[in-house]
Order: sequence, then structure tokens, then C-alpha cells
Amino acid sequence: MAYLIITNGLDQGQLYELPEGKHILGRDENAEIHIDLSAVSRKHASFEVSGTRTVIRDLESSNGTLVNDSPVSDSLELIDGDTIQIADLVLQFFASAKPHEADAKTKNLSHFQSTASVETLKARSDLMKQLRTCFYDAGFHEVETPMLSADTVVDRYLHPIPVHLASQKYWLQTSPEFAMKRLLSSGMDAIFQICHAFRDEEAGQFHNLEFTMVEWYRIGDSTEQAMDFLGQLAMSMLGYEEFDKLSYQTAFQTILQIDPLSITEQELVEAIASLDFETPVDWRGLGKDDWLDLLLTEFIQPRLGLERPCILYNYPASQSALARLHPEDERVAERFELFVQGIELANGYHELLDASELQKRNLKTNALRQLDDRPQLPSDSYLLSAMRHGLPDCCGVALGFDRLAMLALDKSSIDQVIPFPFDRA
Amino acid sequence: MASYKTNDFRKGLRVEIDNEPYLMIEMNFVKPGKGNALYKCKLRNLIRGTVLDRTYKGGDSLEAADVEEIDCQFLYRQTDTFYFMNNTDYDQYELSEEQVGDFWKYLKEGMKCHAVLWNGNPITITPPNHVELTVEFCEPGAKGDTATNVTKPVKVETGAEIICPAFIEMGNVIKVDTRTGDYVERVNIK
Repeated sequence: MAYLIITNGLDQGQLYELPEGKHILGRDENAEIHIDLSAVSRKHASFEVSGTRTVIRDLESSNGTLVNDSPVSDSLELIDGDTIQIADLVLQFFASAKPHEADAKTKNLSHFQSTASVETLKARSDLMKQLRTCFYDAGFHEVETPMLSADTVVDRYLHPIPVHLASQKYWLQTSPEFAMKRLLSSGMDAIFQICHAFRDEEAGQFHNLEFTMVEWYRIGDSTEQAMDFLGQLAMSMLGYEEFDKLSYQTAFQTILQIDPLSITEQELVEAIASLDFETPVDWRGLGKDDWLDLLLTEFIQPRLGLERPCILYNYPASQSALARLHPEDERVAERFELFVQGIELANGYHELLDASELQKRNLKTNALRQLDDRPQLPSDSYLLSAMRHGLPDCCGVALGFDRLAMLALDKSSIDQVIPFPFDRA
Repeated sequence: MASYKTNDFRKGLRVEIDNEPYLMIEMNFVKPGKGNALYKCKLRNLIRGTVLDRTYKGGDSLEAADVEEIDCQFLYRQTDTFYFMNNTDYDQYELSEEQVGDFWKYLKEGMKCHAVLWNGNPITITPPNHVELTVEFCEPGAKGDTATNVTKPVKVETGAEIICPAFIEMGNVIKVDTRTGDYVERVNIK
């Protein structure tokens, strides 16, 4: 028996059986395939099934019938997998195998197609080429490190995906940071990598579980130099003449009249209660940094980089991650982020070199992860050994290439710049 | 009862909040690179239709609501109570005038409707998008009044008043859009 399934539009996932004989599709209540859409004619098309052959006939419908994007002038024999478009509805034809009904509800059969247009994918390729040229011209060497590693970055809110092989646990990398720093310890001096990174539970307008990251390190760079290189890169990739720099403290003081460095958690919570926005329902487990993050994403970030790229720098020491603390002001870390059109595009550090300090931070982060009921991450790593051996003074930056492509190509969602988002992977 | 973790949050999810069923109609994922994930949700109350904005952080969860959509038939009305029958298992449901809302205007005995059940009890009833109703009473239109922009109220068999073009007469069958309450067309009786 042949089958038709609605793959897109009203009643998506609806399956129709086509036994031997003639079947009418239309708005007419008596049509076997009854579609209640005004753009569908009363008797729109017919399906004649005889043995293994199925012929579709357009019954002189007002709005026509398309098979694989070509109009059916009179009739046409269907072959397995053909897509039929009627008004806003997309149907798929199956000659014999019955598509799994349960699957059909969740797995859209037209999902073999790219969500990014061919034009966008070509433009993305051009951007990638341009980006590589920027790095080669600046004297960087391109490197490739394992995406599957026994080490992983220890972060409270980054959820790496474990992979069990034989008796050993590996991790899909949330960024190539650890391995790239090991290369610096091994003697490389200016390196960049364009690779995929994986972060579990991240899906949305600006997130896909697997995404493309551009990460680079250069030994000897000061924070100023690293921010300048990032700003220049954003200017040349996105066509701006200048970029701004703004300290984390100044941003909070100007926009929210809050000093993020001196305010206590209690004062911060009170300030938040006076602001008009939807705070999380459950406040348990939220600390000062979570509240600062909340204010940053809600009130500050949307205003950053509207005129030109903006680098926010000197993040609070409590949000240092893998950045070193500022030698002249230990309340802040030499961490910076790039924002364009309110979108977070890159994160950079003047890198922490002290192995024992990193180990302390890992232990603290793991304790927080335990509070959150999240699995512990290995606090020991090849990176720690590399740092003990000697990591040269350096700066490093990670930039989300998909978001860069969104901005460069004026797309509003990550799905428009990558071919197969995770639900089509 | 089953629950959904933030990781399962998506449009179309049916959840229970403060002992009421909600449909997740919008879900936006927001996450600063190093910060906690936020799930900004819009949820529609399945009983009252009101919309709620709620933000959840990564790791939070919501109870799943036992909500089911069924086809049913309107049986009859007895004063303020409306009786329906499930087309699949022939279970009967009683709905109050308040639960039926404005849709009483379109309910004819035997009419196929759509119902939403929560924990096995109906919470909303939706009639078909278009229903055909017989005009029981109306003032006669002035002679020659064939223009459609001249309207008048008519009383249909269910007792409801519908605004129709002036040419509609008693005994006519009219098609009404139940979503808007508007007259659509006069139906020719075969």
C-alpha cells in the first residue's frame, strides 16, 4: 500500500493510507484526504493507485499542485519520496513502506534539507576563507586538536557530553582551550583553530548543541593587544570603521547605577526586586554572579555594540574562569567579551598561568556543580601538567563563528547559517 | 507524576503550574557564555486562556499536565448544563455555561466538537470553525435591499443573535464562523 504524510503545515504528521483505487484530496467534506484550507480547492487533486503505480492528477485546482517543486499540468506518476505541495501544505509520498507514525510526529521527513539557504552556505564559506586569511596574514599557524579528550574545561554552567570508550571516559570538547594551551607549552607561539565544540543542553535562537568555534592564542600579548586584535578582526569581518571598549564596572554604573564590584549580594537582590523584569521562579542556588549575569543579559547586553563592536573588559574576579586576576586591581580579572548588535560573540582572557590556582578554581567549581546536582568534572588534566611544566604568558580568545555569520549575513537565527541544526543532525 | 526538565522545554509542552494546566506557547533560551541558562517561557492557561510569563533557570523542572484532546458530540442542554459525549469511548461530560462560554451560540444537538480533557475532565469545548444555523426569526428586509453592507440582527435556532445582511429571511440557513461570530454566507438548501 502507498502512503501520504503531511510533513509541513496544518496537521503535520498526519498519515493517509492509499489503498488500491482512486482517492480525492480537497476541501470537500467528502474528500478522503480532507484538507480544510481555503487555498485548497473542493476537489483539488486525485491519487489513483493501481498495483505498484500511483498517479497524481490535478483536478483543475485554483492554486495548482506541485510535485518536487514543478507544477503538475495534468497527471504524473509518483515515485517513492516525492514531495507534493498544495497551498501551504507539504506532503510526502511513500510507495510501499509505511512511515512510522509515531516518528512522523517528531521527525519531520523533509528534514533532510539544509535549514540554511544555498546562498547563505556559500556566503558562509566566503566568510570562513576571509577569517582564515586574517589569521594567516597576522602570522598565526592553524592547528587541529582532539575534539574527544580525557580532559574537559571545568565550568559551573557548561555541560560537556561524556563519551564512554572501553573503560575510559572521554569528553566532547566545549572548547579546544586545554589542548591549544598544551601546544603553547610545547613551543607553538601564535596559533588558531576553527573547529566544532559541543555544549549539552544548549539550543535556541543563538545556540546549537554543536557549533563552530574560532579560538586563538598568542604568547607575549598584553590584554590591550589581544583586545585590539579582536576589535580589528570584528571590524574587518563585519565592516565597521571602529570599535569601543567599556569596562564591566562602567557599563553597570552607567546603565544601572550599580557598582558591580562593591555591591553586596543583599543590595543586589534588593536592586533587582525594584527593576521590572521576569526573574527566575526558583531563586535557590543563585548567587551574586548569577544576579550580575541576569542584569547583564537583560539590561546591558541589548545595548552593547549597537553602533560598532564593543568589548566589555575587566570582569569581576569571581567570574575569572581561566583568566588571571588584574595585577593592579584584584577585584577584577583580565577577562573580556565582544558584543555586536547586543549579541555575545567572543570571550577572551589574559591567561591564568598558575597551576595551583587553576586547581583551586576547579575544586570550587566542582563543589558548586555538586550543589546544582551536576556531575563532577575531572579537576586534574594534561593542562595542569602543562602549566606546571610552564605555560608562556599569553592571551587567548574564543569566538562563535555561527553568530559571526549571523551578523555578517544579517540572519536572525543560528538555524539560518548552519545546514543541519541538532534536531536535523 | 512525570515532569519536564528545562532541557525538555519546548513549544507545545503541557505543564501544570499552581494546580492549573498550561500550554507552553513560546520558549526562548538565553545563556551568557559562562552563565546559567535561562528559559523564558510564555504559558497559556488552558482553562482561562490567560498568558503567563515565567523564567526558569537551567536544571529547574515543571510537572507534566495530563491533558488530552478528543472529538466529542454535543448531546443536549438542560438549563445551565451542557452534555457532551466522547466519540471514542462514549463517556459523557457535563459542562457549565461558564465553561462553554460564547460557544453555546453555535451548539446544535449532534454537532461534532473538539474537547480538551485535563485529568480526564473536559476544560474547554471548541465547535467546528464553521457551523450552519437556521434563522428562526428576523425583521423582514426592505424591498430591494440586496446590498450586503446593510445588516440586521437575526435570531437562529440555538437562540443566539447573529448580525446578517438585510436580505436574510426567516427559514434561511446561514453559515457562521464560530471563531469570530461573524456571518459567512447563506447556504443553499438542496
